[in-house]
Amino acid sequence: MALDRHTGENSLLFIKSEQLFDWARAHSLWYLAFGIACCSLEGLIGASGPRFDFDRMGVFFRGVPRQADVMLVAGTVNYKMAEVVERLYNQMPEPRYVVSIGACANTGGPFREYPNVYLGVDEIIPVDVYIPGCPPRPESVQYAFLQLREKIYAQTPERLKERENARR
Amino acid sequence: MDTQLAPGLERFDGYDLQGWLSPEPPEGIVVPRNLRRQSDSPHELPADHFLLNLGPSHPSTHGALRCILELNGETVMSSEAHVGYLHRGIEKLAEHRRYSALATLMDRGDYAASIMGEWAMVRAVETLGEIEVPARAEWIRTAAAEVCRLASHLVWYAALGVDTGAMGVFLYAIRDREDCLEILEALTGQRMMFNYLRPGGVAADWCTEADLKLRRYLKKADEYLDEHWEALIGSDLFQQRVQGVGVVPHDMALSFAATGWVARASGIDWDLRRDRPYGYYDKLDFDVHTMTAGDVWARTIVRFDEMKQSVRMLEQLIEMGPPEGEHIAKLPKVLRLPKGEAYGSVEGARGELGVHIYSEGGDMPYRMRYRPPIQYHLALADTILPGQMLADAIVTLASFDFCFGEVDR
Repeated sequence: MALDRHTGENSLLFIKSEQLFDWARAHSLWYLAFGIACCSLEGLIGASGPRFDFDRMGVFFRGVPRQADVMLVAGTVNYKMAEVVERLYNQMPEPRYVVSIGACANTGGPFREYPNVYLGVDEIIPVDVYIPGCPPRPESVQYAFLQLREKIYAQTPERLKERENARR
Repeated sequence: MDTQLAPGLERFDGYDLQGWLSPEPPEGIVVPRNLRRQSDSPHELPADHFLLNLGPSHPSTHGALRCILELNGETVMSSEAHVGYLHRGIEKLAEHRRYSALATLMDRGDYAASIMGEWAMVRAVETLGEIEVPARAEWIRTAAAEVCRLASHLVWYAALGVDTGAMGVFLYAIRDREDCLEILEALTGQRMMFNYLRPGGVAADWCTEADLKLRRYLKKADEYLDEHWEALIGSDLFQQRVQGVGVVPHDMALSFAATGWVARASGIDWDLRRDRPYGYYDKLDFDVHTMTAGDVWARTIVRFDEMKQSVRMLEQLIEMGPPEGEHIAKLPKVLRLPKGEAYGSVEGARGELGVHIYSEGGDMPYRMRYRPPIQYHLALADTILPGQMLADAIVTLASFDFCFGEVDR
C-alpha cells in the first residue's frame, strides 16, 4: 500500500488490487465455529469473549464453512473425525487457512499413544500456523492470527507474479 | 512419523465403513442401517420425510455430537445420536499411567470442569490405598471444585443463551468465567487442565493471590448472578420459549440413570454433596434445589440455583479460612496400591462423575472405568427428541450441556 507522497495527502491511494484484497483479507479473518475438544473453550469461546475480544481484530465466527476463511482445529482428531475435518476443509472457499490449536492437533498430544488418534492434523489437511500448549491461552490464539496476517501479506508478491504470468 | 504405542495396541488404517452402511446403499444417499428400526427396508423413507444431519460441525451441538434426525416437516420423527468423534482412549491409556499422572487424563475427560474428574480419581485411589487426606487439602479441593463448577455452568449458560437467540448473554457469561479462571490460574497455574489434585492432597498450597482474587470475585458474584437473571432467565420471552420443552418425566430419569441436575429437575432429590458428603461439604450449609417439571426451564432453574449455592459455599469457605496443616499427605514418590478395587465419585458439574479403579498391585491401575454422567443423559436426550419441533430439539440438546471429552472418553 502506498500513499501519494508528492502531495502529502492521503486522499489518493495507489495500490494494486492484490494488495488491496490481501489487506482486506488479513483484517477480516472469519473462522469456522467448529470446536472438537477442550481447546475450543479457550481458542474459540474464551478468545471471542469480552476480555480477549477477537472482534476488534476483525476475527468473527461463522457457523458455515462456506462463509469461513480460517479453520481452527481445536482438539484431538481421530479417525472418525478426520473425515469430517477433511470435508469441512474442502467446503471452505479459497484462499483458506488452517490454524492448529494445541498439542493434540499439532502432534497427537497426550493421546498419541492411542491408535485411533492422528499424529497431528497436518496428516489430513495443510496447516498454516501451529499453536503449542495444552490448551493454549487465548492470547496465543490471537498471536496466531497476527502471524497469519503476516503470512497473507508475505504471499502478496507471489500473487502479483501469478497475475503477471497469467497475462503473458 | 510413528510413535510407540501402548502395549497390546496396534495402529489401524481406518474403519471399514461398508460394514456400517447397508449392503447396497442407494445412489446418492447414505442411511445408517438401524435408523428406521421398525421398517424392514431401512433405506426407504416415506416420501414426505427427510433426513437432517445435525453435526458434528454444528454451532449448537457443542462439540462432537452428530444427530441424524428424520424430519416430517419441522417435527422430529426419529433421532439417532452418533458418538465417538472424540474417542481418544482415556480408559486404555490410564492403564499405562502412574496414579499421580492419571490426573492429566482425567482433566481431558470432563474438560469444562476438570477438577471434578481429578477429584473422582483421587477419591478412588485414596479409598483403595487408605490414604488420609489433610483437612487443608480437602478445604482447597472444595474451594477449587466450586469455582470450577461456576466456570463450567457459565459455559453452559452462555451456550444456552446463544441457542435460544440471546447472543449478548454469551458475553456476560464469558466475562464471569474469566474471573473464575483467574482464581484457578492463581491457584493451580493454568486456566484449564489443571493437573492439580494428587492422591493425598493437592499439588500446590493455597496462596494469597488466589485468596484475594476469590474475595474480589465473591464481592461482585451476587450482582453478576442477578444480571444473568435479568438478562435471560427472568425474561418472559425466554420462559415462554423453554417451558414445556424437552420434558424428562420422573420415571424416565430414574430408568436412564440420570444424575445431578437432570435428575433434580425431574424430581429426584439426590445430591452426592449432601447425601454422601465428601471433602468439606459436610461442614457447609447449602440447599439442594429440586423441581418436578423436568423441562428445559426446570433444568435451567436448578442449574442457576446451583450457581447461587456455589457462591454461598465459597463465601462460607472464605469465612472459615483454610485449616492449618500440610496441603499434601506424606506419601512415597511412586505410589503403589494393594490389590483390589475401589469406586470414587463426586457430584460433578454434570452429574455423578465416578471413577472405578481395579488394581492388581503396582504403580498403575489394571483397569480404570470412567463413569461419565453425560453419556447417560445423551441416551435420555436422544429418546425425548422424537415428537419435538426441530427448533425445540436444539434447545433441548443445549439444556443437557454435553461435553464430549467425557462421553467419548
